[in-house]
Amino acid sequence: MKKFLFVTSIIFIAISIAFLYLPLGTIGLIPSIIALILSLIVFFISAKGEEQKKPKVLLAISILTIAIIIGKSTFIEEEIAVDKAFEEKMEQSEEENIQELENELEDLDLEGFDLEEDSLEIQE
Amino acid sequence: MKHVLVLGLSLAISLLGFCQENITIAGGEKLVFNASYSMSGLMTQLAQVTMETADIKTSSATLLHLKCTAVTFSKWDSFFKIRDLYESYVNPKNLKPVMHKRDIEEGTYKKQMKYVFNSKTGTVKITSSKPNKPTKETQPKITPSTIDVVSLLYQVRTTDFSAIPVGGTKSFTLLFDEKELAVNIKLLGKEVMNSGPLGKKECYKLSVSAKTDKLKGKDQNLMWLTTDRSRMPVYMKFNIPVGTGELILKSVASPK
Repeated sequence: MKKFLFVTSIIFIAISIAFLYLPLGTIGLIPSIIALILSLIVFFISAKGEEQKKPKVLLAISILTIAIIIGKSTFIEEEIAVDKAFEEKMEQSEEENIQELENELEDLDLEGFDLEEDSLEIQE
Repeated sequence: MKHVLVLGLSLAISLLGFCQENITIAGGEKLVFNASYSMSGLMTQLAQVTMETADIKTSSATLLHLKCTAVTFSKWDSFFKIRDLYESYVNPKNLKPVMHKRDIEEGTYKKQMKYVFNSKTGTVKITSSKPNKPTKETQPKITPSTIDVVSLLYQVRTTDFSAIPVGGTKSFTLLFDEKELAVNIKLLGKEVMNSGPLGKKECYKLSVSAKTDKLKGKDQNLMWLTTDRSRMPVYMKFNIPVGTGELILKSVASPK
């Protein structure tokens, strides 16, 4: 039983370490907390002294992974990458749209459109 | 997964007001939201959604350009990259659309769609294309009040909710994926919300429902709009077949 819990605990620690590298945010807490609970059980059912050394290491690693996951989600601001291709695509789309609008507007009903005025009142 | 952001937007989008005179939306506004998706019961930040407005002048008219983008946070790009662009060109006075374009890139899924609304003929010219497939063109008839998803998102902000009783519902028509879709908006009441950069604000709590299998649950697709004149969308929650998610207002740049 002890051996089974020990091995299971190692598996969950491995999963939580893998989750640290994946963009899964706080979901990584699930395997880490399971690993922590299993490590604690192994720790308490192990005889005091030498036998508790390995469960202690597992406990330390699972606490560390929990701390890293919480720290990452609390202190690291999510950012989007600068995507020049997407920016260029948007600019190009805008240019094309204006050209298309120039063509389309000739055929469309412009009733109700303000042809001269510069937009609207500004909100607060 | 690929529909998460689309539907997140669609939730907001599904809120439509009457085409009344627009005194709320002007060019030069930029709203940034953080979009999160629930995985195993825990919310995970997935993407940044930006809504921008700009005045556009053509040789014959001044239009308002409404642009919405959804971009995954960089940590997601290697796993599931989203680069969605939704834009509409509308009449600045009543936000009625002239042209709408949708260019989506979600993982390996790509699609482009263009609608050109013609109120004179009561039709919309639809052009849709997907990679390795021939471009499709149709020109169906639509109801005069039918609008696209982006215009809808902005039109809802011009709606006078103070004139709607709590529990009151309005029905609207949205053109999405080449189909006209009936959308109902219910005013659930007012709530004071922590509105991020705006601080604590009194908001209208709105429930969105539509005759579609893309939105799940009763009163589980919600949107909070500030009760002031800007009617800023500060928080949205959506419930779709593949899970739940939310959009939280992160920053606001208002026109000067």
